[in-house]
Amino acid sequence: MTERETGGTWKPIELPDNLGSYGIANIVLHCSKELRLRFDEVLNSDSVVRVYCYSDEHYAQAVTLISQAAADELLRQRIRRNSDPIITQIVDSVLSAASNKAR
Amino acid sequence: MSHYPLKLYPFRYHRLNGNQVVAVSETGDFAFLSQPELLELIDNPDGFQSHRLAELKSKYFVGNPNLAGSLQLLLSRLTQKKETILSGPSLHAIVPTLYCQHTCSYCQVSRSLTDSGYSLSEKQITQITERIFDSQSHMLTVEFQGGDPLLRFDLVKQAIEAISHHNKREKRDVRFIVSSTLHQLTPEMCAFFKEYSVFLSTSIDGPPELHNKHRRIKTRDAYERTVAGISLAREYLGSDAVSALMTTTYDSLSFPEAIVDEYVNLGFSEIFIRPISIYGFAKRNQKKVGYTEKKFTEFYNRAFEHILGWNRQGYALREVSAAIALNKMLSPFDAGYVDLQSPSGAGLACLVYNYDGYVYPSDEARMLAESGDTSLRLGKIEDSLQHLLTSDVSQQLVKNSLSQYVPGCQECAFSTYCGPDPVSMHAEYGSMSTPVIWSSHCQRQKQLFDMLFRKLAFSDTWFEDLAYSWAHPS
Repeated sequence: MTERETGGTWKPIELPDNLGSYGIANIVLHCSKELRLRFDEVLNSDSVVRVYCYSDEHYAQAVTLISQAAADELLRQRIRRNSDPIITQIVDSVLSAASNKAR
Repeated sequence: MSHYPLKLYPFRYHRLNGNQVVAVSETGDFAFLSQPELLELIDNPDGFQSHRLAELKSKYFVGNPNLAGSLQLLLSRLTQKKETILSGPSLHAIVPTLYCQHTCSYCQVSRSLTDSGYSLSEKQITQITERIFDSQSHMLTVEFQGGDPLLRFDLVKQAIEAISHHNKREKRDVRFIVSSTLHQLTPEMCAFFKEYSVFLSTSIDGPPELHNKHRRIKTRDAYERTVAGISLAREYLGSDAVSALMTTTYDSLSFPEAIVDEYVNLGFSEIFIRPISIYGFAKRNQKKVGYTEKKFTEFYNRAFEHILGWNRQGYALREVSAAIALNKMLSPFDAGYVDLQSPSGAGLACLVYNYDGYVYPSDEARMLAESGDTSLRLGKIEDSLQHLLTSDVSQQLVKNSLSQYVPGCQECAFSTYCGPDPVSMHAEYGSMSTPVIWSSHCQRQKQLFDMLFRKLAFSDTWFEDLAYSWAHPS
């Protein structure tokens, strides 16, 4: 344990089962700006992330933040599933044209 | 009810609160949606009332990709948004000299007048003026930076005359800007600038004591000399021919209102509130002049509210970074700001011809070179444009700035307005492929877009009118 870890405890927060590793990575990426998260636990379990908390209030805030991030990640996955892939291909073609300037 | 099956188009959203989001389509159109509306859009777009559905169709959230013309329209909108990148380098910055009389605490690059070897040669100026026209872009902005370019007015004059001469044949839309302290400005220079419609850009950090504290010269009157230069330029070139920008230091953080008031007192119609750059010499003084992103956001938001206050009182004052963001959000046409592009405008839309004989992809990249990191050089001034645009550095910049593939941008609602800044990630972390959300650029832009969307969602129609006027400058 490093010195910065004193004064608090690692606590688990359960994530929805169907997030997938990409979804969990996204949550960790975004929430790690505000929370200290345990990457190793994320890798070892699909449904639990550990967060370093200094108080019960801090833990409650972390649960709210991560739960909202997980719900939003699931919605984004639904958008990707439901949306027309042709549009994504068109967007990619425009960006490829721009990128090709440097190739 | 729709007459044809509707398909959901890909979109991203940003949460404003537990029950409201702003959704942004691939074209950059946006809609404020409640949580139930968000779910309905994703799962059952046909269920919307006809007027709301019409809005979502017109903003490319839903549609029928099989309808003739529908995809063409979408393609046209997307291409318009990428015009800055697609049309080739349009911003050509020339650094004729690094000489400057100032020794600013946050200066990235400048050299004192007693140093030698810090200017371009006449031959190099000729090469640059020819190279600029190799770009396909019809719109060309040629900006002289420094140092203080007016200390080598002979080179500035040579370049402007040569470019103007070439342009009689090329017939491009060329705009000249000279960025200077204006301390050396003379009536003769003004007459030349008037003849060639040159705009002047200078720096005012705020009230005299704030400006003079960091923009140091021996006589300790940098503010007074710049204000005298502004007056002279306005007398000869007109009141709109000079703009100013400010650099935020640690000392600025307590005085956002006073800084804004200074711009009003000096009669400016624009203020460009910029954070300090962490490049070059500024990195050494970071402890003295630097601050956190959070502190800058607090400062910016206070300044922004004060600017709105002046506008409400009838004084038209436009904040440039907000205006650039609003242009992205509210206009189908991109204003061409190279820092908010994907792929990055650095190298594709902007080239910097430096006094050292090398070409860099951005101002920041040449500042890095001054502190010893020359890894972002695209090539030499005498190299062909094709060589510069296809260099290894150019390719790395593109590869690391495609927001649809960059983690952190892929899901970001603002990615159609923005783009990773690989040069700043390289400067901050030593790698262009650093997670984008760690970069100051990302944090700052996210804060700005979030603040502006909240204003649009929750403010009165007065702010909406102002936002549209800033987004479409005359």
